[in-house]
Amino acid sequence: MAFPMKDVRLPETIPDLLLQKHADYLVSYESNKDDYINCMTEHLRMSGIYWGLTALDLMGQLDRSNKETILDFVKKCQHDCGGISPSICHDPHMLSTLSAIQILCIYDAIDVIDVEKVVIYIKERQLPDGSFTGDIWGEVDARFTFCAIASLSLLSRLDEINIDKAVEFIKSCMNFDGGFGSKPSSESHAGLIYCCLGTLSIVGHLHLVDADKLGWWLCERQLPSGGLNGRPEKLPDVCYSWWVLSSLTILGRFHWIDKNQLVTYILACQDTETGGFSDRPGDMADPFHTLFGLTAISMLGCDKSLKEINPTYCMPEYVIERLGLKPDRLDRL
Amino acid sequence: MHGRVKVRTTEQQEKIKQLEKQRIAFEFKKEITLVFEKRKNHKWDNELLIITQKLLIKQPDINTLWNIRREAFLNNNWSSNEWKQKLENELFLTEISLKENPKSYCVWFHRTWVIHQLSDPDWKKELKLCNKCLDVDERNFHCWDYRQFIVKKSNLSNEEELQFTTFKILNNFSNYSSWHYRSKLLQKLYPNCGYNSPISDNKLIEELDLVMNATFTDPDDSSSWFYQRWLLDYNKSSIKLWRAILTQTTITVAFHEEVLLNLELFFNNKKIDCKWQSANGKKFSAVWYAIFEKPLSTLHNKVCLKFEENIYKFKQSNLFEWIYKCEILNSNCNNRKLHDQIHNYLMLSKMEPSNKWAKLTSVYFLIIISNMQLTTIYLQKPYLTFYNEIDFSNNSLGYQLYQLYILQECIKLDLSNNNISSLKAFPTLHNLKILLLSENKITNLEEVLDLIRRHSLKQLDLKANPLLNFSLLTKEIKKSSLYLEIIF
Repeated sequence: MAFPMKDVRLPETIPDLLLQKHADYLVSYESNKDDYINCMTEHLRMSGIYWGLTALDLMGQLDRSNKETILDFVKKCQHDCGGISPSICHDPHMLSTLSAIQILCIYDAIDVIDVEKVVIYIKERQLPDGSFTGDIWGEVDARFTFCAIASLSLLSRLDEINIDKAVEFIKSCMNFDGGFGSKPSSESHAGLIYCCLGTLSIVGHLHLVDADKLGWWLCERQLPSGGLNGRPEKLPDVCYSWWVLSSLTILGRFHWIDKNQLVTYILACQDTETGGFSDRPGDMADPFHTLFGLTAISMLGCDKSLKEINPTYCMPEYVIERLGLKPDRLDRL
Repeated sequence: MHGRVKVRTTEQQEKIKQLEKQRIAFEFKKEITLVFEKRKNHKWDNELLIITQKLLIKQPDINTLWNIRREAFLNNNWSSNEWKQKLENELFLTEISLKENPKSYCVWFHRTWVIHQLSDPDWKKELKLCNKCLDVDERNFHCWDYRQFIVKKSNLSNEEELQFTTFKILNNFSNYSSWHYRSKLLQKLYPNCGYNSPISDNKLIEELDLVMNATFTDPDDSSSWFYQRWLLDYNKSSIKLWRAILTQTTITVAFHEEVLLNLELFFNNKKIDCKWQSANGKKFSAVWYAIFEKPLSTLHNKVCLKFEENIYKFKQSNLFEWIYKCEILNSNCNNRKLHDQIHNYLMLSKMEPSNKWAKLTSVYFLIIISNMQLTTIYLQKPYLTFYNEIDFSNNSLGYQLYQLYILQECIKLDLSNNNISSLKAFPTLHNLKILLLSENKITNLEEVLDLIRRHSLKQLDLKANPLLNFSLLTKEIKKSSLYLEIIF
């Protein structure tokens, strides 16, 4: 018996790209004092700010963000150990540390934090096998390797850690399908593939990847609806538009997916009333999917008013150029 | 927020909902403030555990609250009985939290922390929890990871785990997570030291049959097709060095994959100084070479190469040449078996004409059996390194020029009609004398000159290219290379 394919049906009318609505949505989300949402998402605050800011910057509306308040918040979230927490009173973590550094780079205000201390915090997270832990409690994940490498490269301090060992760990996360999982022997997942390729692109070791095999696996993420999923036989989701597209771009195989179909899927995930994007058509919009909807649209190049996005850092290209960074990419095949 | 459907409500309903949310938020804020205060004052009491438990059941993703609970364990002086009892409670709490959010990273991590603290964990119970969780969602990778942690920590047998994946796969072929786990287990249980397949030959045949069963049951499901491709196109040799040639003046070495320079050349156990150069100019390269300043006397010497602690011995091929060749161990996987497979997949292609996977696999089997090799397949590996004459004409290598770096022994290279518009990525091939580039789309004069400067070419064919200024090119060439014959 054949199982029905996992996918969604798109609505009949697909809205245009509603940039102004998305900007308004993000600004109002940021200034929202809804206690319930604030409480339930406080542990994600720093990343939330990064998602919103990056999206606003891509739309040329960074000036609508509350720069002074945000910089003050980031400063208050740095702890004595150097690490940065997602919110005040919460504990420092690699995820929020990277988000904070990304925010400061966008604002060109890295001196708001104690850079020496944050470098020490990141350095101390590396284990003898090259992997990185998320915080002092020791959870290991390739996501944290990306956080460490991306953060240190944004601070021009990559020489502080053992890069060869870090690369060795990433290599050990590679699977039978050419993809990467979060740990050695974890299943391949498009989000983790982005983290591992991002890491390898920053340190210039993309040659370790079987680009054809992995590129094939990645382009097979596209479903008949045009949307991309993150693993075989899963539903499509706007955020994978980013993880998969950026990975394919790093591999020089961006042209292996059907661009027009993907654009249609992403546009169908807009909330035409409130603004913002959701994971699938008809679901609740949120800042996370709004950023990745916009970064994917930027990468697909179908709206010229959106700024260019850098596939490795998920930050506006002009910021990466301003920092003089040149992450590697494989040539187009 | 993944998969939260937007629901329309009336104004009245909305108001009630808002009020309820406000109440929850008020409570939440009050409680979390109290927790942070207690932590600040080092009050690791029972109330702290009760409140954090209540908060975490509602929102298990707050990492800091789990950290605080762990701090309570480390800062209290509980008796060993109390300690154990409290750890049991943590197992209970994580189990409830997983019901709320089975994909919460911090809950799964907390559970591994608890297991690490217990002196004698109930492994069976942990495995049961995994089974239960995988019954609900067989693709939950957090649970699969946790399962592997438990198996490793408790020394459970990999054989039993392999049986578990078989059970899962037969239950539903569309279980990519199981296929993945299987690939890891098989490599441990049935390793292959040969070259062509990831696992031992007998097991490979068995697996191909299992996959055939799966692909015929549900040809539209991609899981088993990916797994099949892994079984068929695995080519990772444990012997990394593939081939090498040593003459009196040069040595060229080719590896199956790109490697870091870590080479030493020995004559009669005496190390010879070589200036190794990577053929692609990068830190990692599949081909390395060295040119000797003084010609070597290669007569009557034992020659070997040391790479990553392995010694590779050369054989003398003639008076002035020594070679090393890797003996590729061909798979014993017999052809008859492969012919059965291809027969079946050709049939499946006919039965399901719109199924791309069946077609792809049929073609793939044909390639394996007939040893038909495509230019693109070959170019990825250094297997053409030692050819002197190569005809790549009438391909489409315009975007792949950088991959030609492997052709370090090539003297005559034909790249006519290859859709080449730029020579920027053309690598330096230190033996190249004749280069045919006719019928391409080359326009940039400077790129041509740069290519000439980097080589000592005798003949360059640029016929049928939209190059603009021939006279200028000829003039420039005369300046840099007297012996070059150029064909327009």
